[in-house]
Amino acid sequence: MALNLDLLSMGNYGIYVWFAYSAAAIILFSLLYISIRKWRQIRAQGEILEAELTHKIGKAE
Amino acid sequence: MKKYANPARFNRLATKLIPWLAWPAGLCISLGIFLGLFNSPPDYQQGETVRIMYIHVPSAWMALFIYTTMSIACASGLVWKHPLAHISARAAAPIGACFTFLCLLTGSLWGKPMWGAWWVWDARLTSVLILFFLYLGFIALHHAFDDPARGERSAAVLAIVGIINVPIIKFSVDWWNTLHQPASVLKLSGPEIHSTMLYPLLIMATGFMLYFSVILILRMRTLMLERRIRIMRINNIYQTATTEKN
Repeated sequence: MALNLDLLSMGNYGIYVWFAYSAAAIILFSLLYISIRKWRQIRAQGEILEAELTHKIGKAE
Repeated sequence: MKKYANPARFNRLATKLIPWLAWPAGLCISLGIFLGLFNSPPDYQQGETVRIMYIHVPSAWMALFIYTTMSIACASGLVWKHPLAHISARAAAPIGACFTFLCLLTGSLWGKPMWGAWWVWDARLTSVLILFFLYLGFIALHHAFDDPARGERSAAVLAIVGIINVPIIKFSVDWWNTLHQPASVLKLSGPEIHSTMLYPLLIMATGFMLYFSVILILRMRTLMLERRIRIMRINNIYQTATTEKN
C-alpha cells in the first residue's frame, strides 16, 4: 500500500509526471484511432463508388 | 527506392509492413513506459520529475526528425515530381504536430516544478513553438486552395523555408543563454547520462519512431485512396452524364 502511494505521489511531483504520461497516452491513442477510422471510412467509400461505377459502365455498354 | 514510388507497389508493401511495425512499436513503448516509470532511478537534482524526460525528449526528437523528412519529401516533390513525396509530407505533418505539441506540453509540466514557471520565452522553447506553428501552417495551406496541386506546392515551399528552424532549435541552447539545459544525449562526445536512464530513453525513442512509421503508412494509404476516390467521382459524374444522354 505504502509502495503504491509512493508510486502515485512520485516524491510530491506525481501530478506532473502522471499528467505527462496520461497526456502522451491520450494524444498517441487518439491519433492512432483517428487514422484507422479515417482509413476505414475512405476504404468503404471507395468500395461503394467502385461498385456504382462498375454498374454504370456495365449499363452503358 | 524508386520502384516503391509506384503507388500500387507501395500499397502492397504497406499492407505487409504495418503488422511488422505495429507490434514492435507497442512493445517498445510499453517497455519504455515500464522502465521509465518503475525501473530507472530518480535524478539527484530533479528527483522523480526526471521521468517526464522519457516522453519529452523522444517527442522532441520526433518533432525535429519528422519536420526534416517532411522538408526533404517536399523538396523531392517539387524538384523530381516524385509521386509519393507530397503525399508522404502531407501524411507526416499532423503526426509531427502531435509530437511537437506533446513536447511543449510535457516540457511545460517539467518546467513548472523545476523552473517555477509553465513557460518562459527562452530561445529553445520559442523555436519549438515556431516549429509547432510551422506544422499548423503546413496543414492549413494544404486546405487553403481548391486546387490540391497548388496547396501542395505552397505548403512545400513553407516546409522548405521552415527547415532553417531545425538547426536553430538544435543549437539554441549553445548559441544563446537559455534556461533550458544543453544537449546531454545527442553530442559529438557521446551521451552524458547514465545507462539506466539512457536505455529507457532510447527504447521509448525507438517505439515513437515505429509508431510514427505505422501512422505514416496508414495516413499515406488514406490520402492515396482519397485521391483515387476524387478521380472516381469525376468518372462517376461523366458516366451519369453519358448514360442520361443515351
